[in-house]
Amino acid sequence: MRFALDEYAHLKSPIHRWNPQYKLIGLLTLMFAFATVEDLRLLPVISTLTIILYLLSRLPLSFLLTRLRYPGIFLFTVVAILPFFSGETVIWQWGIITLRQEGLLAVVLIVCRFLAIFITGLVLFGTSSFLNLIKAMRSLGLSPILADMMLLSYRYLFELAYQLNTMQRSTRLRGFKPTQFSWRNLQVYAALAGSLLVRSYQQSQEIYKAMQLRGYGTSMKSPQSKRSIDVYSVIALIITLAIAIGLIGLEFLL
Amino acid sequence: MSQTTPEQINSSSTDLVDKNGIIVEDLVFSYPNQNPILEEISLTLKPGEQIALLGKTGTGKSTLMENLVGLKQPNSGKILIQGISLEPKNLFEVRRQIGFGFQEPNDQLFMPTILEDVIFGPCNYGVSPEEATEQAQELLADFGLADVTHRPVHELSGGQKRLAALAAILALNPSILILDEPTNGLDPWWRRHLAEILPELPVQVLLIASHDLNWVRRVTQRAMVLQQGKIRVDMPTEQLLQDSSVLESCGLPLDY
Repeated sequence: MRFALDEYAHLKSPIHRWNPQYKLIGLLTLMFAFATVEDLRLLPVISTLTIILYLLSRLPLSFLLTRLRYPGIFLFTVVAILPFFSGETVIWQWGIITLRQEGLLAVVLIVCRFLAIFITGLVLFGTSSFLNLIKAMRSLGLSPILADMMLLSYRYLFELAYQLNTMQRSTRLRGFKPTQFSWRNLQVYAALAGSLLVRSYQQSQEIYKAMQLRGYGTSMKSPQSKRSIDVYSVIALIITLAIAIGLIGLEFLL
Repeated sequence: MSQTTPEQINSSSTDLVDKNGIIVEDLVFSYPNQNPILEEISLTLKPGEQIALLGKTGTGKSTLMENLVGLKQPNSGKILIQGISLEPKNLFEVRRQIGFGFQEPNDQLFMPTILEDVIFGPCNYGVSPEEATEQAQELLADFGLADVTHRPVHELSGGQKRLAALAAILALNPSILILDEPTNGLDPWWRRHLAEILPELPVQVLLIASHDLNWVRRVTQRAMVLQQGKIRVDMPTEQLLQDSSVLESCGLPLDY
């Protein structure tokens, strides 16, 4: 099983060049700005900005489409009923099925905002390695414990998946039919989940010992790395922040 | 058959002028409300020695090693690491002297890439990230892992993980190296490769717990056998492995 969080982090693009710290601030601010948009007249603006951002990142379309699948299904289940029940103005009717204008516009707003925020998030996480992003978050004030937890979760997610895969294979080799729905099958799944929980707990204790043995928890301060100012990243941040503030300002004015 | 008894070891330790290495005196360890796992263990591991710690599963080899690195606190007794008494208040300083290799390298490689793992220890001890990275890259290149420094750990083979874990330990330049079952899960090629590397490492004391008697014969000169919480036998490895009566009495296989 292969996880592809950093699959395209090695590409070369203007967004990849952007320092992760500045990128984090800039794109998160942009995502918040997108979230504040309520006026439909701003939707073409945020859509255009998102498309430009994605094109600049040189991430393949397949990357977006594969990651959009499950969130898209979730979004669909949430908004699908809105056009039929939300609002007063009826624009189409067939028998008892009524399409309402306000509901339809609400769907357009929600979908556009969702896509803008989601795609911006993909650009953020797809153009930097997970490790560099965690380091950037840590340098911006994320609690060291939270940062370590995220790093360890990322690292051992693959181990857990591998162990689960191995256990599942072992059950199949002994005649277990996973597609059958039965009380016994549920018990087996519960046992698998319980085993995984216990194993991961035991492993976490061993890992903590290994970390302690290499000085974790009582560390000396290491000298700060000399950081030169990355002009490109600063300019990109200023532009992004200006766009975000502009969007919020426009929303406020309109 | 000549064997050094624990009493002889104990008396010789107090006469040592050079207190480098590991000295253990009357170590007792038990879990709460349980019988002792280690009973009055006394031993001396001198600089220049490569020692095998043998014994059946469950005799306390891992427990003894975890006591030596301060992961477990003994009920009584004394442990000296390079002349410094191992106590909770000085674990941070003492642990820099000891590299401990776990049975399972996955437990030891907890950063997303092996380069990050190798610089983890030095950065905790005040080395700058740039310097630690430079040293780590040299170390990984020495171990033939230069091409995989930025690979995620889960993509490495068992042998590569073992070497990467070793590199991560050695990054702190320990003078003592303790390895728990280092050949677990390794194929013959990797076992041989490890046997070639270990004696060349710049450590003063090498202590290896292993069930692989053929392998320890190649790597160690001295062997101790733990049985029922005590060091039953302490003699040259080759001599031990050729003495079937000793092997049998210690519960070790004759047909290794």
